[in-house]
Amino acid sequence: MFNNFANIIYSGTATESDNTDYSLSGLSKKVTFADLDDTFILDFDAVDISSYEDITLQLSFHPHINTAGTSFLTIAVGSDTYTITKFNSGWNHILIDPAAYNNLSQITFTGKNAGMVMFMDLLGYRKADNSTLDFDIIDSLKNKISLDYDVSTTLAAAITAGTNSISLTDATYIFPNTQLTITDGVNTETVKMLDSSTIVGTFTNSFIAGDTVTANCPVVGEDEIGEDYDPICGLVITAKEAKSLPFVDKSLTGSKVREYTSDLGITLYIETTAKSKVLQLTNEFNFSYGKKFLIILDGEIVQVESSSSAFSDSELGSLPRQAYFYTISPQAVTKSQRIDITDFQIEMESKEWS
Amino acid sequence: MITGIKEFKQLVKNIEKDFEKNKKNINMDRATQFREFAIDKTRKNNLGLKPISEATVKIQENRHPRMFNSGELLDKIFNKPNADGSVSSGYFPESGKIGKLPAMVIAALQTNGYKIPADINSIKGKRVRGFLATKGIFLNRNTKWLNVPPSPFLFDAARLYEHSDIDIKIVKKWARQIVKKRAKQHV
Repeated sequence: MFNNFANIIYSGTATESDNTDYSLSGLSKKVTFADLDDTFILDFDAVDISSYEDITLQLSFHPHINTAGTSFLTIAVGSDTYTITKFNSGWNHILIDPAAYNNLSQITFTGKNAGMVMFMDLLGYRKADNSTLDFDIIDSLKNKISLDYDVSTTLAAAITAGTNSISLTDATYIFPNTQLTITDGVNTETVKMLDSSTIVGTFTNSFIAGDTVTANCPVVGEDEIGEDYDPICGLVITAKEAKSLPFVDKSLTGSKVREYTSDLGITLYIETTAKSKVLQLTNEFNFSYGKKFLIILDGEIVQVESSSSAFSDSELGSLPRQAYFYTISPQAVTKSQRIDITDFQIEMESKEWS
Repeated sequence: MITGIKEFKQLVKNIEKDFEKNKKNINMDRATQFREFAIDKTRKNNLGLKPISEATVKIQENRHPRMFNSGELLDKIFNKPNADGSVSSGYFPESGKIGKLPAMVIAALQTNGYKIPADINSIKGKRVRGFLATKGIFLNRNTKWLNVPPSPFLFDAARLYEHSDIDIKIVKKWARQIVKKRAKQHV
């Protein structure tokens, strides 16, 4: 389970801006610490994160300055200040234990090198929650995958809000259960076809003839597979296997022994009535994602690799389908925690041998 | 007894030749073990696949692991030797039907999952509803499709097989046989 800090307001003497050129999520914060001790302050809605496992964020520094042994950056969280003395090139995954923060509302970064530029992404707090562990992966895949069905047309007749009739200029490759997005440039509405001239439910907005209609290939998990969209990119959990793979995660305050406790078998399938469109979507998927791609899972970048793929043609009245098979480990659970020793005192007393 | 580096190099070369000569047999042995492993895991329901639905229980009149009804599909898995000495495992024949469909098609459908038409307004949907009604299963009037989820039983079995030590043991067994045979010649 991963949560963002809510309603963040940025301030401080450092210069900050949104950046899309260099990021993990598609949008990072670029922060320039022009002068020594410039600050980048994040104020957000107060939150009790003491029951969570980590504050997690990804930081990257440009140009890379090797200042081993000297203070590079400080991060103030609540009443604690963490000093960073070195970073690796590229993205650095930073973890901070949140056990002490039952009312956190601010995090402050202070630059210790004038002219330093920092990129920040995927800031939040997380914990392994048994109820969401598996479906977090499905959500991550849904956030990553996007397919263009490449079917657009226009309305042949006006639509009145509250009605369910629809008339399209060209209904090629638009079937019962096709999801459509209709827009007039101001209002946008997404509906599902019931049959060739009716939608499921009724329209919320009115539209005029000539407004744009786009057919979608929605990416859905099991909770929505029953919608039977056509086309559809479905994600289904097909197997769960127990395993034990422990490892050590280093944080700014110590380390945690974590363990991957299971593997999840996931099938991703692309399906629609028209075989040519299944093949088109498959080609797009292979080009955009291929055998391996990266997803964001609980604040981390995880590589996903397809073990195999298979095509099944239309049989028994079923629709043609291309499927990809994955094995992905859900977020690791924390088994134990170690805290760095900062003070170590030994008292010694001399005694005579007897 | 090996008396010098030249003889040792010759021994290593001969062992490599023996491995190459037996490549097909070694790989067929490995493929056979995988086939038996996959069938055994599927029959014992040890792949972690979702259980069959109550509707399927009613239709089959039997509660059994997913992928296993009469076992006909599993029995049709075969291994295919390739020209380069490798062996591909997990094939289904293109000919030979189970019921009305070839085993290969059934395997693909089961692996990928599929939808059965159930639209009350379509001919196919009416046929499906009629069949299900004879089994005591009655669908909601608005149901248009029945979803059968994917069951990638062979891919899951391959993953489990990879994590096991069976393949390593087979290769070691062959290695011991080959090395022992050659070593005897140098005693």
